[in-house]
Amino acid sequence: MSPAPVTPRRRGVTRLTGAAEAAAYATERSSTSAPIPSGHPSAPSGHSLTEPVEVLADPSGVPVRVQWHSRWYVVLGEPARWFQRRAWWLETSRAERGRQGLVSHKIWRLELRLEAAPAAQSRTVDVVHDVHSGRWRVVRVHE
Amino acid sequence: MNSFAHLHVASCFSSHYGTNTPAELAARAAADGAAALALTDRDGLYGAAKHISACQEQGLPPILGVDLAVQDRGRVVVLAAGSAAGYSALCEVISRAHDADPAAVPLQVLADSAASDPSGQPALYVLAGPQSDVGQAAAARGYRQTRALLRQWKQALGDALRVEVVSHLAPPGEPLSTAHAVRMLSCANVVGVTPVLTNAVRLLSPAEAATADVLDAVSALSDLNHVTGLQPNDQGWLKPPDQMRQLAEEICRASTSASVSPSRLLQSTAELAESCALDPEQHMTWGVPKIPEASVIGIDRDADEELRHRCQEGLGARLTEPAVRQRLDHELSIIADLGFAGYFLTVSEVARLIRSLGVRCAARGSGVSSLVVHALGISPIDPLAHGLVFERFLSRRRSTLPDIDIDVESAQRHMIYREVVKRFGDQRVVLMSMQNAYRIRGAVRDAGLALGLPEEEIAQLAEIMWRFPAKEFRQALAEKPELKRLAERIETERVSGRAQLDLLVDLTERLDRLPRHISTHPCGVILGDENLLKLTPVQPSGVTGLPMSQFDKDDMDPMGFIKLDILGVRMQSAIAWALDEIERTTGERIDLDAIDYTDPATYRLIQSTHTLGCFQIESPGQRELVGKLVPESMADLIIDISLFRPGPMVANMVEPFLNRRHGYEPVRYPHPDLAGILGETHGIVVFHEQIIRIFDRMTGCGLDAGDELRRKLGTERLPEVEEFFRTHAAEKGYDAATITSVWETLEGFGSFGFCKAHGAAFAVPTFQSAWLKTHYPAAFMCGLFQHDPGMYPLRLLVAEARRLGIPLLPMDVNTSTGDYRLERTETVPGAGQSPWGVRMALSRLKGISEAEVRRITREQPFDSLADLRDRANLRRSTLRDLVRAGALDSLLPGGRSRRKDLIAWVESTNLARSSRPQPKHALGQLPLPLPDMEVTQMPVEHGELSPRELVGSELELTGIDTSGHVMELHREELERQGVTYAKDLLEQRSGALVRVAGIRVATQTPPMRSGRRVVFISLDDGTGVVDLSFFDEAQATIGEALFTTKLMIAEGTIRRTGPRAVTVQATRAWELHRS
Repeated sequence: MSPAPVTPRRRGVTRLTGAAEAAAYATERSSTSAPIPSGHPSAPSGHSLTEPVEVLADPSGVPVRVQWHSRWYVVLGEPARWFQRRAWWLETSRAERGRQGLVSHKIWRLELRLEAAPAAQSRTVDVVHDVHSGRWRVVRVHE
Repeated sequence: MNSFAHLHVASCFSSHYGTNTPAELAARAAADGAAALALTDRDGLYGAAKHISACQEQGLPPILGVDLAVQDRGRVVVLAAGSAAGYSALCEVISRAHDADPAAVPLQVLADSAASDPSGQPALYVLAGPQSDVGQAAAARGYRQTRALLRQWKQALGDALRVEVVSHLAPPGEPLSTAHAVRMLSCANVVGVTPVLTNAVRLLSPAEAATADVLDAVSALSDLNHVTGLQPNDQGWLKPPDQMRQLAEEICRASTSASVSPSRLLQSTAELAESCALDPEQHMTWGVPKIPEASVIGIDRDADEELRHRCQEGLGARLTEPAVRQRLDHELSIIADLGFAGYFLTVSEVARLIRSLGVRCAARGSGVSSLVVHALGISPIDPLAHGLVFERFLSRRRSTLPDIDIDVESAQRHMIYREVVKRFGDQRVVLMSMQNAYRIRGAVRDAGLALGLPEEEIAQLAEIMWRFPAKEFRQALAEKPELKRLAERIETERVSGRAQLDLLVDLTERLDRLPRHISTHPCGVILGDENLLKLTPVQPSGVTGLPMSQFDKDDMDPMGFIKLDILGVRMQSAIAWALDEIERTTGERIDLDAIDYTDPATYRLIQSTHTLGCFQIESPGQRELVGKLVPESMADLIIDISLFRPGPMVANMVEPFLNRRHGYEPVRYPHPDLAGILGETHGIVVFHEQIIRIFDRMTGCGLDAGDELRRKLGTERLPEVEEFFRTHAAEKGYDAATITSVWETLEGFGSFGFCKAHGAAFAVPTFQSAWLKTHYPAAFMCGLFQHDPGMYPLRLLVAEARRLGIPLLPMDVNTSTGDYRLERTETVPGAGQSPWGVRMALSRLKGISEAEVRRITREQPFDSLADLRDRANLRRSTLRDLVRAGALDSLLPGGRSRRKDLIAWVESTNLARSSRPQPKHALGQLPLPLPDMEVTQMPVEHGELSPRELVGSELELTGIDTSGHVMELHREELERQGVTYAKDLLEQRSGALVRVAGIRVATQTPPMRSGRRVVFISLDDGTGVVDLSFFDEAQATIGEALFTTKLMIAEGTIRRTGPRAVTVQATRAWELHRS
């Protein structure tokens, strides 16, 4: 008998006492981790993907030319930009103080036209700029 | 125009919302060249005083406001106009909002307050923004509704209304997108309301956004995956002027109405900032002390004269002593110069009020240094007798307001607050609040909650966290032995792809020190004049419902609020209970102020180190110190209490003092002039008062300047103090060697000493409690049980009572009440046995309700189980637990031997109330006892309870092992392990190897001179308390179990440190039942 009140073991709760158990537990948990709830602003209209792209920007950071699939495009008009939230607690492993770009991505919606074919129909794509790598990616192509 | 004023800014004092301190925000705004800066925390002015101070430091015009809910209309920003009327309207409207829970103000009340400035200017400006009903309608694209709602606002508020335009650059179509801002702008345009631009700031920079996400999850009691309404992104930060201008341009460009230019939007924002800039001195009486008017305390003549008169009355014949007369004149002239006479008269009135209510009260703190305080009867300590320095408390040079603390019985504290409010009027008295900040355990729990960790895992993690700053969690993982296992786990899980624990560490660090919630300060009462409620918003205090200021103790000085600390001290309640019990049982009323403070028996008890339960000297470290110091007088007790403080311990004052006291080391003084000052502590500097006097003696600076110099020791201004000291001491003719030697002492010890006035004030209840324990042990222990004042679990005090031979009378439905009571025992006392026992209280039973306790005590006695069942009307679970705890043994023919049968019976029988209503007292007759059929027929089947079952149920149900000590159950095991008991440790030679065991009763990590952590654990083994120390190596050996093991067995060596002082330096420890 122990005089200390013993917390009853509850179903679904694992008491972790050793590294081996912890590893097993971690594997199990990460395979069953909760899905991103609907309602997060990530439901795409159009076609989502992630594809590296080269972007040239003006001095204030606004994209002006884009090289995509080895072809150069010009950006038409004033591109719209916004900041889109990430489910960072599922996507990253660290969140130390001062970490940049953790909670949202800057997204640009660009209307692109082939430089070489001024008469071609324009296409609209969303591109994201990763603050850590400095790389750009196309994340959505609007049909 | 490259400047911008943020008008909507939440600091971390918007609890579970903002992420940065007002000082951080103001510093950044100033660096960005802001024109002004507002602080608009949610629901109150919690950070307002800090904001004003920070703005003054940065040279920014401050603006104050609040982010407040308007009933049924969402949240708006309310800004005070830059006027006295504006600030007081802001305070009043916030107080009105807190009439509702959650806080919300009716629109009409807001409108009335906004129009309350007699000059006709708005007193408040209201910013209807994205969180208002207007903004919500705009987000939902209800264009017509948006306009209709805004028109209603305009009708209510007129000129005071602005539309707040905000874009957090959220994805198109979402709230806080630029499109949302555009809709607000065009609606403002159509309805004819001036728009202003803000950034609805809650972050200093985007990097804090993750912290805000965690706070949002925690405030919704949810995890990040499931919480709704997270901020759309990380853009709610304090953007610099050029970015705000870009936002203005972007919004105006996107606006099809195109009738507002970015410049005009920014201009109207700047104009509003200008109208709202506050002059703290003019508009808030910043820094000007405010006390109740003389007329309220019934004084019709000059307060200085009245104070002199009352002091002279109080001192009486002592005034013929020149020293007394001189000191009084000295103090009164300083008080008159500072204009504080009214304050002293107010405190004196409060003390008089408390005593007139029959409540024990004692002054504490540096106020005890004042003869005026003594003469007014606030403090029993004569400052002249103890050499206390008035200037430590108050002087012409002191920039802070005086602070007199009064200790009262904890159980009477709320009653006293109510009486003080009644006496001075509810417009002049409010309680002070306190911000509770995140510490490691709370931070781990909430970060774990946000990440969705299982509750039990969080609890296990929190349990092993032991007092380190949350922001150093990752560092602690690398260093602390008890976290080694956790560090390994994190590593393993990282490898297998689970990042949750890594994130947990980071998020815990982010939460460190953020304000968590506000509560009533345990003792602060603010006393002001009739305008107090125009200077502080109030909200109902959680416990008493009395109005509580939104300002905390750091805000008192700058706001010019005078607070009185009325601290509820459980020891005072325990003493009061003991005295009442003695009077109730014997008719004797003891006057503790008249006892003999040289009583040898009391000092023998103190010297024995059996001081559990005694005020200030019961902790493991104090018991050791008392054993070394061997106090023989009140002066010794004052020194003892003063030495056992972080400062003196860290500065290593204790060892040299003890060595000199016991003659192991000669007493030396740096200079004969200092012998008079340092004589009481054998040449060691212990007290602040000694430092003040050394400065004065050697430089001739005066006591007031001496205290100023003392306060600068240990700060960055140390060099200027040294310069002053060396120059002036040399001028006074002290030689260089003396000056250097004294300076080294001052420099080394100066910032670590202790105020002797505090020690003197503490020593009185310390002696009183020891005196009661010596002469009335049963009554004293009874008082301790009732009010549980100490640092230990109650069951240790019960064990101490058992050690003292005080009969512990079990809980009994016929004799127990809701309280612990002294009871004369019938048995003839044996050797060392007290004739007085303590009857355990029914209220200690877990789960019993107050109403059930009341019904039992009202209906007592009961002659049978049926009688109890019918008249006390107990819940089944309560009845069962009473049976299990033995409270019904006296109703059973076989007593405790039949308890097991009764438990079985209670658990199996239908306990429906007997169908016949009880004709209680009907027709003036007592009811006939029903034959207790069930119990008499109860089969004998279950045998007797084993001691283990007996004690087990007691601990489970009451937390106290009343019938026997829990360690008795392990006696055989302990014998087998060769354990040495606490009572025998003193006979062991120093250095002997021993094994000890017991149930953990205390864990401490006091500050150490070396800066290394030493863990002190105290075990109760039934014969007394064993104190163990664990140094680095032992901590590493034990790991997690250091803070989690309840029943511990340990090995180590005996350290004898004084005639009665012995501890065990542990090398190894483990859980008892594992061995």
